[in-house]
Amino acid sequence: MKIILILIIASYSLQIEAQSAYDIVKKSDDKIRGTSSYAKIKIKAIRPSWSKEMTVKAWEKNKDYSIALVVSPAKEKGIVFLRRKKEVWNYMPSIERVVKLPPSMMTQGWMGTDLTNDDMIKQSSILIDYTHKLVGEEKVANANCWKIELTPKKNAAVVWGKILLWIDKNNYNQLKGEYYDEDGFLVNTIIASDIKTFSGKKLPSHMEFIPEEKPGNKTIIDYLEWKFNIKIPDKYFTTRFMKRLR
Amino acid sequence: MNLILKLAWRNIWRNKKRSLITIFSVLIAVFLAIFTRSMQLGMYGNMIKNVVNTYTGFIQIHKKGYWDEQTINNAFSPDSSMVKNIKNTLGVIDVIPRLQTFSLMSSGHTTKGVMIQGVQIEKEKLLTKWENRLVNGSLFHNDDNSVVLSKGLAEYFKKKPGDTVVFIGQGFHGMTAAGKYPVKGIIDMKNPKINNLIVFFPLKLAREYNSAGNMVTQLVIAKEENTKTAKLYKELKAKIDPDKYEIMSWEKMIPELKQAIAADNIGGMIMIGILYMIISFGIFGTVLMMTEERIYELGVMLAVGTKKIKLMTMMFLESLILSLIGVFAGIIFIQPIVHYYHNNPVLLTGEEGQAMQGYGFEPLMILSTDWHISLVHAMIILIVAMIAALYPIWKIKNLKPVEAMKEI
Repeated sequence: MKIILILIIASYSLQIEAQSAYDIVKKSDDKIRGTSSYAKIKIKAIRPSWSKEMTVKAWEKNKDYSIALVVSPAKEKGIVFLRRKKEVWNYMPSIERVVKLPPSMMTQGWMGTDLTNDDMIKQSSILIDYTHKLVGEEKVANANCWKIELTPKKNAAVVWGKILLWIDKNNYNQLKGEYYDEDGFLVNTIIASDIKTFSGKKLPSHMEFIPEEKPGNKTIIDYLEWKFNIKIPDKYFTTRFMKRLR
Repeated sequence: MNLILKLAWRNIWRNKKRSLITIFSVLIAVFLAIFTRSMQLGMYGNMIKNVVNTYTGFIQIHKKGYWDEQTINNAFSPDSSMVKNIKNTLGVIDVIPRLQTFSLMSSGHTTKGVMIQGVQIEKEKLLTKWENRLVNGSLFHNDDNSVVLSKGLAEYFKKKPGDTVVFIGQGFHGMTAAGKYPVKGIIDMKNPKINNLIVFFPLKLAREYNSAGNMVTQLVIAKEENTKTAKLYKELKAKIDPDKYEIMSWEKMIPELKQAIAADNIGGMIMIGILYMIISFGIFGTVLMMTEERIYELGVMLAVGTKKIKLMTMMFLESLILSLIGVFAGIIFIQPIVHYYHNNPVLLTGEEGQAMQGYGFEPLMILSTDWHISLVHAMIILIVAMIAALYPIWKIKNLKPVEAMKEI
């Protein structure tokens, strides 16, 4: 009887340790993706000789649909980006036009920042397009993290050759990410910090996006508001609605 | 020596016809050589002026590093005291501001990369005659919100004055540049490459489009026509802060033009070379004829006891004096012609004219009044004449008086 009890307890604890790398990443991803979310974000693009700050409101539904509205600076107010699955549209009030972003523009920086249009789309594929392997445990900013290596699956249409993610054990937040190209060279590093509570969830509110090839360049993202499981009507994610988004 | 000089002088006027023929052959040579070269150099100068003024201007000032990285982020706010200092330089007519950037131009489903140049029309008129290039519509004023398209772009997008076009790009310090503007006019830049690339904005509008405050990417120097570029460049270079700004002349900005002219120049020099060969034969022929004609006279002088060296000196002096008179006369006679065609260039019509216009050059036949040309070519002719004068000297050296007098 005692032996069975010990075995059950032992297997239970083993189960916790035997969370697969996939599970860890999924839990981390689900935390942010959830069903639908709204966020108000401050984005700052930093260059050696200048910097630019923007405030953006973003709505996301089901990982596949998102729409973002630029609120400041005044000159760019009213600019909208819509993503439906893998297609992106851009609306500019000053020219009253909706432009569909061609594939050639995907690698360009988004609104002068270091994030590319492609980065904005591909976020949701870290579960589906990669195989996950737990390679160790490290501390990132005093938090114990799992270090997970992601390798793209054979026919996956992704740009990264390898991704390393540091996911914190307590809150399943991605505290650090390193993105490598096909030749194994580090291209981008993302560091998340400043954990705050948003809608009951403990999430990092400050992210720094650092491109390796451009010293002095950095993009900083701060979440000012972040709400989850809110109801967003489907019509929000249409090209017609872009002009009316507030 | 004095005796020989007197003899030489008297010999010259003894036979007026002969002397005048010699003088005349030298004169014609000088005349033709200077005329041809003045025309070549005058036309090159005009071509350079046309292209340079239309495109970059003779001298430009930029923020340091702009030329290697021509982006809007390398625009600068012109320092007013520096601009004033430059304007006060002798040879500078005005300092012309431009704001240049690449953007996408779009209409309907067509999009193309174009170069936007923000300009102040009144100042640009100091460089080129904008009114002459207008094909349709009219030019904008400084406060307008309309643009002027180059001919090729207007055709590509099928636009005419009154239509609207859209521009999208990235402005200064990452700001999105987007705007929708009406077309005010269409302009022919002559150069086919430029005609498919450039769109003109009023400077104020370009600054607003790019969120570029009161900035410029280039300060173009409008210089007086008679001021030498190299000299002005040196003077202006001393007036700007080398850590903040760079200054360039057209040769650095459009080296292809300099090379094209240099290539053509070689052709021109070959032409002059051939001309010289013909001229030289002309002079030589005249000298030959003169010498042969006087063989008897020279034979007599030798027989009478004149030292050969004295005879040679006399002949040499005769040639020298005749050549000098010919050269000076040639230079004097050509001047009125050079100045006339310099100030009243001939408009070339017909195929030649049209070919030139096709390249964007004014079809003008214009002569250069650079006095170097006269000097250089007069010198060359003088040397040719002196070489020709070696013939009688050689002839005298080998002269046997008895044989010479047998001629009669």
